[in-house]
Formats: sequence, C-alpha cells, structure tokens
Amino acid sequence: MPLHPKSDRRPRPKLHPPHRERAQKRTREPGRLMSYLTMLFFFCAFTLLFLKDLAWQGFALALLVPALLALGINLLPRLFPADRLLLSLANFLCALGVLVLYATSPALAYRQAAYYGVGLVAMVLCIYMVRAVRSWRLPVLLLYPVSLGLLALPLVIGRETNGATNWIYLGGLSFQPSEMVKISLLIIISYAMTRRRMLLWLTFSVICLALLMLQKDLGTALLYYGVTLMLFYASSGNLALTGLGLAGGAGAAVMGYRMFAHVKRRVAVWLNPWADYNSAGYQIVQGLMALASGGLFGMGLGLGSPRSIPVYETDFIFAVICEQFGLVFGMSVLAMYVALIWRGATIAMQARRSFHGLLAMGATLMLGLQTFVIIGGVIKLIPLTGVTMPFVSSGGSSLLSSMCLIGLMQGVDSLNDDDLDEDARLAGLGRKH
Amino acid sequence: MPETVFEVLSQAMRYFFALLGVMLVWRAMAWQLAERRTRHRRLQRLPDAGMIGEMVVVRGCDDVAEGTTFPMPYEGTLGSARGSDLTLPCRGVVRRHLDFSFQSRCGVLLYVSPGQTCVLDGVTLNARSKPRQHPMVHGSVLEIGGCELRLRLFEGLETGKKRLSAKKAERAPSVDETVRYVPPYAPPGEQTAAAKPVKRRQGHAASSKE
Repeated sequence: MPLHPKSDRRPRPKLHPPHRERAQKRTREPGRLMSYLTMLFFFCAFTLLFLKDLAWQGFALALLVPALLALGINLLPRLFPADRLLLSLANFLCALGVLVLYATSPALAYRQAAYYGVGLVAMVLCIYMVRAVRSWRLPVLLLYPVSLGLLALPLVIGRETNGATNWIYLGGLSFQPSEMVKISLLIIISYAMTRRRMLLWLTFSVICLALLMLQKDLGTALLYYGVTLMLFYASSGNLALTGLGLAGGAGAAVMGYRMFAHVKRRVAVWLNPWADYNSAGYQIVQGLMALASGGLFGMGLGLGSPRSIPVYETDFIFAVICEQFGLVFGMSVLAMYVALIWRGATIAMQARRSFHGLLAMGATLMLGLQTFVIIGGVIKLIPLTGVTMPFVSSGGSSLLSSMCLIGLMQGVDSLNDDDLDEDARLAGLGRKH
Repeated sequence: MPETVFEVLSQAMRYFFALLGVMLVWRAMAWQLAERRTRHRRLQRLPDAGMIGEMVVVRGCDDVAEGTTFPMPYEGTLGSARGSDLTLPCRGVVRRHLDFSFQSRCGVLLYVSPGQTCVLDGVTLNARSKPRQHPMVHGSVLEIGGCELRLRLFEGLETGKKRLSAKKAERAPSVDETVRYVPPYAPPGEQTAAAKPVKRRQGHAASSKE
C-alpha cells in the first residue's frame, strides 16, 4: 500500500455519473432530434391556428398533438416491438392530416384524430398478429371467403358515392370494405406465393378485380392489380410472365377506355382539363390553381381558399398542403413517403422467411403505389383515380388500413430483430442492446 | 386576433415550416442511414447470420467434389439454376428441384417440385409427400440426382425427433425432447463426425475482442 496518495501513479478510470451517461446516450440516438422537431412543428402550427380565431380547441390540440406524438414515438417502442423510424414517419403524416383538416374544416379533424387513436391500436394488433401466428394456413382459409364476401357487400347494400359503389352505410357508421380487404389480399397472396399455390392467389386477385370493376372503383382496382403483379415478380423473378401480366393490364385498360363512357371522359379531362373547366375539369383545374398559388413557400397556414377544390379533404389534400405550406414543404412530405418506402423495402429485404419478406414488400408497395397514384393524379401526371393519400386524407377506413399496413411492416421488422438476436446468441456474442 | 396581423404572422411562419419540413426529411434519411450502418457493423460480427448450418457433399459428381460444403439458409431453393440458394450442377437435378424451409423444433422441411424426387434417409420423397412427416434433421442424408449431401446444423439450433407425425409436428416438442439424429447407416468412422454440430464462425470484430 503506498504511503503517500501521490505515489500511486496509475491513471484513474474516468467515471461518469449514470445520469451523464444516459444523457450522452440520448444525444447520440438519431431519432431524438426528429421527435423534437416534429413536436415543435405541430406545436407552432396549432398555436398559429389558435391565434386565428382564439378557439380553445386549437390550444388544446397545440398541447395534445405534440404530447401524443411524444407518446407515440418514444413510449410505444418501449412497450411494443415497434420500429421507431417507421412510427415517427407515420405519426408525422397522421398528425399532418389532422392539422390540415383542422385548418380547413375542424369537425373532420376531430373525427380524424379519433380514427388515428383507433389506428394506433390496430397497428399494435397487426404487429402481434405477425409475431404470434406461426402457421398461416387456417387464417388464409378463413380470410379468403370473408374478404370476398366483404368486397361483394357494397354491390348488395352499398350506396353510390362520387361515381363508385364502394361504401357501406350501417346505422351511423360508414366504411369502405376494399380498404380492409387490402390487408387480407397481402396475407393471402404472400402465403399462396410462398407455398407456390398459383391457383389460390390468381383466383383471389381476379375475383377481387372483377368485384372492384363492378363497383367502378378503378383506383383501388389499379392498386390491387399493381401490387399483385409486383409481388409476383418479387416472388418468382419471372420477367416474361410479369411482362405478360403488364401487357394484359394495358390491354384491359384500352378495352375499358373503349367500352366505358366514364373512363373516356376521365381520360379526356386528364388530357385537357381546361376544355371543360366549369364542369368535368373543375376539380383538376382548381387543384392545379391551388398548387400554383401556393408557390415555393405557400400562402400561409389558415390562408388561401382550399375549400374551393371539390373533395379537398380526401383526394386533393396534397393540393391543400401545397397551397398552404408551399412546394418546398410538399416535396418534403413526398420525401417522407420515400423514406417510409425505403424503410419498408429494407425490412422486406432483411426478412429471413419469404412469407414475411413478401408481406412487408406488399405493404410497402401498397403504400407507395397509392401515394404515387393520388399525387400523380393531383399534379396531372396520370388520370385521376379516387384513392386517398395514405395517413393524411380524411377517412377512417383509409387511415385504419394504412396503420395496419405499417403494423405488418413493424411486425416483420421485429421478427428480423429477433432473428438477429438469436444469431448473436448462437454465435456466443450475446444480445447487443 | 385581427385578420391582418394573423396574415402577417402566418406568412412569416411559412418559411419556418418549410425549414422544419426540410430538417425533418434530413433527419429521417440520416436516421435510416445510421440504422443501416449499425446493422452492417453487427452483421460483420456475425458472418453466419441467416444461416442454419451447411450441407456437406458426401458423394459428389463431376462438377461437385466430395467434401464441398454449401452454407444453408433458413429458407430457399435447391436446384441446378445459378440463382438457387443451393446450386447443385449435377445430372438429375433440375433448375428448381425442391424448396426447403427450417422450422424451429421440427427441422428442415422439404417441398419437392412436381415431377421430381429425392431420397431422404432412405425414404423417397416427391411433390405429394408431406414435408412435416419427413423433416430433415442434423445428420440427415439427402440423395438428389447423383449426389449425396449430409446436413450439419449449427450448435444450439433445436430440431424435433426424427419423422414426427403430422399431429406431433403441430405440437412443438419441449426442449428436453429434442434430439440430434445420427443416421444408423452411416459408416462407423463418420458417425461421430456427422453427429458433431457445426460451430458458428465469429467475425473479426468479435475475435479481436477476445
């Protein structure tokens, strides 16, 4: 033992107090700044809207939405096996929908916020479903007739809305079965393609497409067809048959154009909306004018005239965003979708089982294609079809199905993490985190 | 608040919102890249990640020498096509001869393509055979085309008893029940070698730590 304390020349280990180490870990975490920025954005935006009319609801939302976001982004991944980046992006887009709807028609915003809460619960259920179900044979056998029955229901008891008979009204509730069937379509197709049961997925897709065509729901039919074809290519790699399917789809589109008058009219409006800007082309023209009047930085939140666009709360919500926040922000929203799709594709590529890979890829493709179809329609890149913008557009069915798709992706991601942990355990390295 | 004041405030705030939007995208992309880097670093330490073991060629053919090992993923295809997970360019092996998938506490299930056959531990399998009744476990020998391959699973992976009935396969056996199968017809010298499970390799980062 040294006589004098200074005679001990060994360097002492630097000891940080635990709270400091925790603080360092927090700052290193990449998602923390993103959640702070998201909360700041929505706090400022709702406060601004509160200042407009000094309604207490605006102030309540200015406090509630950032608090819910903090809860959703930071607390949920601690309670459930959820991917924080996916959750952050989906939460941002959902909250953006509530904000834009509150700026235009507050009653829709409250309803959307309630659906958002239900969507979070549905997402957690989907995560556990993917994790818990080991054999998908029985669920697929059950889902097959139930989904087809549900999809056929609007033809029997449905009511025509905006030219398509795809809504069911039961009591005070209304919902769109095709949104719910999206989830079962992905499960059935992924299962059948993994088990190489061509007849199973082919009959299901064809019957679904036929029912959607009978309902005149062309946008959803396009989504179902596109996702089935892309999943077929992802599972088989057969370029020739995929090309054949693509050619068949193009042929059907041409036939539909020649046979149905409403398809002809829609294409004509897409080609030149200004020719009939007071009736058929009114919606597209108003959307384009909103995009143009927004400019680079927008007219300002709560300003402009978004209500002049027909169906501004669902199909044309991107035009409303661009009018109020500008093209720069609109491009940022698009980039968020790109980040979400990138993340989904990464999860699908990392999956160990082909069923999980196809499921995650299908969910990603569904969200990506839906975003492309609606934004392409709004900016007049492709003919307008009546689909919603995922997470943002008003509508419970759409929001619920989008959250379920995110839940499927998150379930697969959590299984990927489990597999990697298992690999580390088997290699004798132990868990990393 | 007066309308004009609100207009000025809202128009001033739009630049701030645009900036926040761009920053959010930048953070999301940076986050994605950071996660990718972390995963890549982790995978570098686990070179056998995604694999369950290896298939050793016991009897080869012209293009596949004896003793050649093929890493075995959890799930994939076996065939003569170059894109297969286990490429076996032998006579009698078609482009996609069979699909396989590992089920924990059961073994590797084989789904033989229509019109093709293979022999697993002396039992001939075809497209009609029930995969769960004939799982491939550690030490199983698969005869396909002119080749004979033996499965060697990594240490720690659990497989069920040999040839579980369909009902038993549904009920996963407990850990105590799991056994490592040694084929009874293996030569005495090879019997112990076949029964010995393969150890996972550890990456350079882990070994340098040790």
